Amino acid sequence: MAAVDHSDPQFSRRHVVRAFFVAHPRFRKRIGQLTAYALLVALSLFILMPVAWMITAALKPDLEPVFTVPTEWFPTTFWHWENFARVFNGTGLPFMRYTINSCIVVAGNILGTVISCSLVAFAFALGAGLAGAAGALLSPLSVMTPDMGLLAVLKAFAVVVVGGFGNIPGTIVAGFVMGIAESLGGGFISATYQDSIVFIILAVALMIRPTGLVRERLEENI
Amino acid sequence: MDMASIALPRRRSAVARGRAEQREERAAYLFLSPWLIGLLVFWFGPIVASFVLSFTDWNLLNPPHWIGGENYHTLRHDYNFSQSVHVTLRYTVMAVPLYIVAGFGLSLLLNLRMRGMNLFRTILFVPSVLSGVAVAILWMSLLNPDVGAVNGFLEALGWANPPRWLGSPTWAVPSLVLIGLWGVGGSAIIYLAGLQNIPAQLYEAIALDGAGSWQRFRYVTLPMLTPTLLFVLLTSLIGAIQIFDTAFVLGGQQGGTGGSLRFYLINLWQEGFTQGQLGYASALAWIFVVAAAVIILAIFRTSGRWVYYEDGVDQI
Repeated sequence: MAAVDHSDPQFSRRHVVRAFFVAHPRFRKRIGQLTAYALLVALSLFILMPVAWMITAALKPDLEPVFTVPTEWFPTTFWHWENFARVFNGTGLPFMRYTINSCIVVAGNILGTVISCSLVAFAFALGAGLAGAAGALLSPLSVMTPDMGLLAVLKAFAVVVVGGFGNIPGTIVAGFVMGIAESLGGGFISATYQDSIVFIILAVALMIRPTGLVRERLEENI
Repeated sequence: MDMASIALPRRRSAVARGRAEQREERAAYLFLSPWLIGLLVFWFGPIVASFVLSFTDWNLLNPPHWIGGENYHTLRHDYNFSQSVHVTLRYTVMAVPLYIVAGFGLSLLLNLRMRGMNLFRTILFVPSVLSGVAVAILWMSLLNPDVGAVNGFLEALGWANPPRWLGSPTWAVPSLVLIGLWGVGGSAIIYLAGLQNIPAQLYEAIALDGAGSWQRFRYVTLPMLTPTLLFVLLTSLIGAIQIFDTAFVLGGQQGGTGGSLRFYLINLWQEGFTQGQLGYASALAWIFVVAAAVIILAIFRTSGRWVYYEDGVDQI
């Protein structure tokens, strides 16, 4: 780099402007961070002071007044941890009973929520899980790309239509039938048009039996 | 084969429907029945009953008599009713805008990428896990006008005669606002979730266009957060007009000094369960429901103008 010629007004102005834009944001960021920390610490104190007061008041003896002027943040005599034991056996109130009641309500609530939510989630998870399993089975067979399995998805959709929407046994049957048809068609008719065979079956199936291949029979047998 | 049967293969005439399908439907209703029965018996039944009772003079002891709209007429000259409406509106007007602005500001702070932020997030969420009754008792001690910690602090700062907080008719409602402000971290967490869902590419795009931090906030953060704002506005509004537990612990069933904490639901509770006028209390409850519904509908009707949904849905 050439020596800076300060007599050149053009250069020195550019230099100052660049120094401003390089140094200034960093400086401003530091100031901003310090302000944010100061605000957060102040807010945290506002939140924590009442909690701290609650904790120290719980450790004060009965004779020492909880309220003093100025406010006493720490018990002056030794700390009375036995206050916590007295809650359960020294107040004359069935505090244990209250606690158990709360536990019963909470446990019942959680149990009900977990059971009902898991049943609902199972329906979603079944669909997602099957799709995931299909992806895992497909990945060793094809190149890993973001859009891999597009053809497989199209074929799978055709299989589902032929098997019947929402009909898992029908879909399994249709999957086997169409898979075997595709392989045999590829061998006996033409490997070039192998991929089209599934869709030809789909078109034919939609014309003659739009409700799905095995639907009626399954309905009678269930 | 017609088009309808292709589009909806399951839906056919009732005659052709298989037995299996009917059985499946029966099973579905059977599984739903505990919930449906609970809804009808314990939810819908009392709602209808309270509407009918609002036209009677039921007081738990005597059988209810039909008195027509008299309960609704009495309301107009009931000082307790007008005072409770006034106190509730005063609290709502003070609390809701303050909580929205404070919660939003706090969430912007908590959204900064800085060391130790998780600690601050945890601390500011602490009040939200405490129960309303415990918080009320805690603040009742802290706000004690003579020996409480808050006034001790204010006096140390040089305020000669600080407010008497819950004991003063003027300061009782602001005290409740202050106690609620202590728990503002709860709504800040909701904003924080909204802030973190804003896609980074929007900030990249506006930075490439040369926007400063104010413009980033004004044209990306604020519009993208309007659905969250609507949600918090509605929930905090409903929470404010329904305030009961904190106010009940702090003010008692008489509603504090000179009724300065006689909120709407406190008044309703007192009319119904200490005065025993359940017919009148039912009328109060229905006025409340209708008023709340009108306010919420009004907010929903205007929300189309200021709430932005990225996926093109213009109503919730």
